[in-house]
Amino acid sequence: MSGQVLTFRKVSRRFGSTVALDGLDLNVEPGTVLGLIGRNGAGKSTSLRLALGHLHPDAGDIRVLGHDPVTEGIKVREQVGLMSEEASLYGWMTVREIMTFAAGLHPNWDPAFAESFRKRLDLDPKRKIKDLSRGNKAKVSLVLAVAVRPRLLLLDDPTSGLDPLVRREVLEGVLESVPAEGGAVVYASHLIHDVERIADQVTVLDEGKSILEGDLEKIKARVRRVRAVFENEPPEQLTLPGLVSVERENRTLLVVADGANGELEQALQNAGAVNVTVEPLPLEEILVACLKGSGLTEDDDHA
Amino acid sequence: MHSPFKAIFRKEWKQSSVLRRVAILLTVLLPPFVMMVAESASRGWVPMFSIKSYDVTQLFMDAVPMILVLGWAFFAALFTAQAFAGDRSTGNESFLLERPVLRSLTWRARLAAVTANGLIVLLGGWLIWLGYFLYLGDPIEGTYLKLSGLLLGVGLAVMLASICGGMAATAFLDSPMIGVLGGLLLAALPAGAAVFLGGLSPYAVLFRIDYDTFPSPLITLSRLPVGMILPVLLYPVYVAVSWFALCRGEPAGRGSRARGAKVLVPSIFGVLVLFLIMAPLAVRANVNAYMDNGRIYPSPDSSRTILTGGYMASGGWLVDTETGEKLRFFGVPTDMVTWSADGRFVAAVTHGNSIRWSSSWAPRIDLVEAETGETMASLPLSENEWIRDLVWIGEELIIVTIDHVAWEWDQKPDKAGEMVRFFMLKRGMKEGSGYLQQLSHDLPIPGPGWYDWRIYTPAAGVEEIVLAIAKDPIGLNYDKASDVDRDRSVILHKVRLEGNRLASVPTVEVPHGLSGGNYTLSRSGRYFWTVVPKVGPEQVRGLLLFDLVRGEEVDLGSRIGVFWPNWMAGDELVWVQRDKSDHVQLHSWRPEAGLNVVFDGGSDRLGLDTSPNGQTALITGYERLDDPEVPHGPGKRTGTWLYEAGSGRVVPMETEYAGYISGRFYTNWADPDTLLRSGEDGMYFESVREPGKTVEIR
Repeated sequence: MSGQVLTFRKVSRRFGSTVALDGLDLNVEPGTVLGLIGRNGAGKSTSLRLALGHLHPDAGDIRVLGHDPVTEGIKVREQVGLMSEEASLYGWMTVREIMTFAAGLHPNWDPAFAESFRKRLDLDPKRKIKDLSRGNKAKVSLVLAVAVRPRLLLLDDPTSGLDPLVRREVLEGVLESVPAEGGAVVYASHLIHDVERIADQVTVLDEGKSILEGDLEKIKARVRRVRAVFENEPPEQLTLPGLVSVERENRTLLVVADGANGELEQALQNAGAVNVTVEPLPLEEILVACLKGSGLTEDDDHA
Repeated sequence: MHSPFKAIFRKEWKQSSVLRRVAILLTVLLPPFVMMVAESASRGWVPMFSIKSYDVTQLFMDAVPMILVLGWAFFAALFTAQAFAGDRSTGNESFLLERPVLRSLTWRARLAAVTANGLIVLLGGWLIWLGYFLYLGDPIEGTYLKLSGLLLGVGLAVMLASICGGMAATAFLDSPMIGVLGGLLLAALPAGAAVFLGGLSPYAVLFRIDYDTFPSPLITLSRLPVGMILPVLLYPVYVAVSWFALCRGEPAGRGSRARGAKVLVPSIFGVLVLFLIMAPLAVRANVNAYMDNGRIYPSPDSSRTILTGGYMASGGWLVDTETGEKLRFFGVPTDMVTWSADGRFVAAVTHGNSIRWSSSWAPRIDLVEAETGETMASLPLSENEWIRDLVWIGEELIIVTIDHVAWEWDQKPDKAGEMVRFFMLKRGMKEGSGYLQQLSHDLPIPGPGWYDWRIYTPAAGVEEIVLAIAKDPIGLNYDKASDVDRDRSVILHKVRLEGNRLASVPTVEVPHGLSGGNYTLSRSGRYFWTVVPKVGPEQVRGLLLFDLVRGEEVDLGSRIGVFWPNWMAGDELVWVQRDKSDHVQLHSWRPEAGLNVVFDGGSDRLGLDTSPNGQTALITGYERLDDPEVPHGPGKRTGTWLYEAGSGRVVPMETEYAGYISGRFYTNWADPDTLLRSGEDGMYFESVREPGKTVEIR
């Protein structure tokens, strides 16, 4: 466990009768960007708030940079920056005032970096927060989160609702601000493309559980879609190795499988497929397949 | 740069700047506004509110300060609600939660900002008021100082109460506007509870300070009722509620309201429970503390004594005279304790309720069985009935005389004859419990019936009452020049029980018999003494003795410098007489022996106190510790003697008791042979037959 930036061990948390997290395990190593993906209500924000100590777990153990956020919340927050979708900025303050205010609250505030980063993001220090666009508010939030030179940066849907240009600016800013050595980012979002752009690790959450996790490239290499064309109707009952999900289109089966290279193709041919072709999958398709495969087949515009 | 407290304080200070400016502006505008309203009201321009005239200075002495105080309370609640709920209502609370700042530090910084805001508005308001007031002119030199002290003191208390209330309210409410209302409501709650509980149990007071040695303001402070003190504890509880709700547990999640409620609800119940526990204890403790300065009511059979506390602690204890054991508590105030002839029952007028603290100003009569201390019956009376006396006639009946307070002060003497009323009550038993049945009432007494009348029962068991009623009570005012020309005659009436009714017949008119209250019938009812306030060319007070059978005055010779006249058995009258050179003697007058000097007290002061059966008189010599600040202060004891009725001689009592003479001017007798003593180590009984034999009162 030592050396991990963030670890969750069997962490559970309920809100009344709703299970937000159900025995979640997470590991974030130094130098990694973890994409925390899931639908709304999957447990992403809850995970981040637990990591900051805002919420306390009902069960399990959390360590952030070796500290328990429940009992050592101050030490945790000294080393962690948070940028959230609903940036809780004081509208009556100017950009300068809110930076000064935040500087007074944080022992690790780097004024020079903060100032250069503000200029880099083209933020007018005299503008009041309430007069800023949504994109600029997100930039202010990013400045406040990274100016403390955090060892762990938590991003809670930071680009939600932003136009593509600003999203790109923010994401670039995130990548710039992560410490070269030892730093880590947890990027929680349902915007798969953004996650795919910067994450090297990914965990897919559904109903508070992790249903897929690992190195993003390896997952993309491992999870494939196989198109099998049969001469007649495909058999109803098929036992296929590594099966994640399967769809039928007349005489064609679209099978998503995790691993089982070669074995899957052979099994389909044995079942009567006359033509078997393998197609690579984008992360979004993998996520959809995972959700369908776990029995969660309802449509989700974001997933 | 890293200074969280300072950063948060500055943020809160800046965030409340608009409110602060509005508060100051309204304070500046308040005086002209009040004057404008007063002027409009005096011209009849204000609907449903008009005044004939107004005084501007007076406005600044009552209306403006009152509105200022209310305004301070409102703005204090507003500042508090804004500071503690403002960020939550606008969704900014998580900004601070995401930073490495202790919530308790945020809480303290907000409290500091709220207090600073409140003080600024308070001081600003006071300065504005002071400026106007001094501009108008101080009506009496120094008024502005006194009013300033009052204004700032009350204002500060109200402001702090509002802050506390606001802090508690915002532990439960996220909206600042509702938080203001909740805060003001919660701020008013302990104050209302204090008024209610304080009124419920006004005699359950904490602390005891010897009132002879402290100036009066401290006495007032030292006698705060428990009911007024305990609810005030809710204000710090409010602060604790806020701290537990906002600084403990999960920062952004569940349980903040529950944590606050866990502090608030038990505290409210705790205050009530504490009150229920402490109030009766405080009532008793207060009575105990003042019992050495109260009254003693010995029972006719010597087995029991009722001791009541003096001053404002006039509750009492039924005490077993033989063992010193306290048998039963009488609530405060207990008055007119009256024993039945056989000593089996005692009747008393009290305001105390069933758990022995006062709950109302409406009095009632309790009838208590001496042996068990059980209340046999209670008769509640209305608040406008003023009980003047309580006496027994025979074994069964209690007569209560009531002078209705509805009497008007400017009533003419010839219309004042209907004021004395009698309630004749019969004691009985029904279904296992006692009752007091009202048998008859409204026995009109001819002649003026106002305050200067007295009731006497010559001896226990005698079935008649004698009333002494001043012929001209209305003109009684010794400060008036016409006083010397007033008819000071007293008309004596006998009221006799005839079957189940009372009958009254005027008997004797005693000329010059009135002295403002000091006159007493002898034990047989034949003789009557009074101390006339100003007699002879020297206009000094003197003793007058009247034989009701012969209808003439008894010649006592010199009758000035008379103190402590006491009737003893055999219609013997004893008193202390002091001449111009402060030489004191004990004089005795007996029908068969005439006037005698029975004891020479020298230059000492003498106290005289007759036993309940009139057989023995206790004479106490003391050297007065003259202290102009304490006119009724203690004296140093110089000796104790006993005088047996009819014996004509005084014998020393060999007692070790060395307590000081205090303000006890009533009696020291707990029964015909026993004295009540008090000292620093407590209270005890001492037998006059065996001096030194004591029984501690427990």
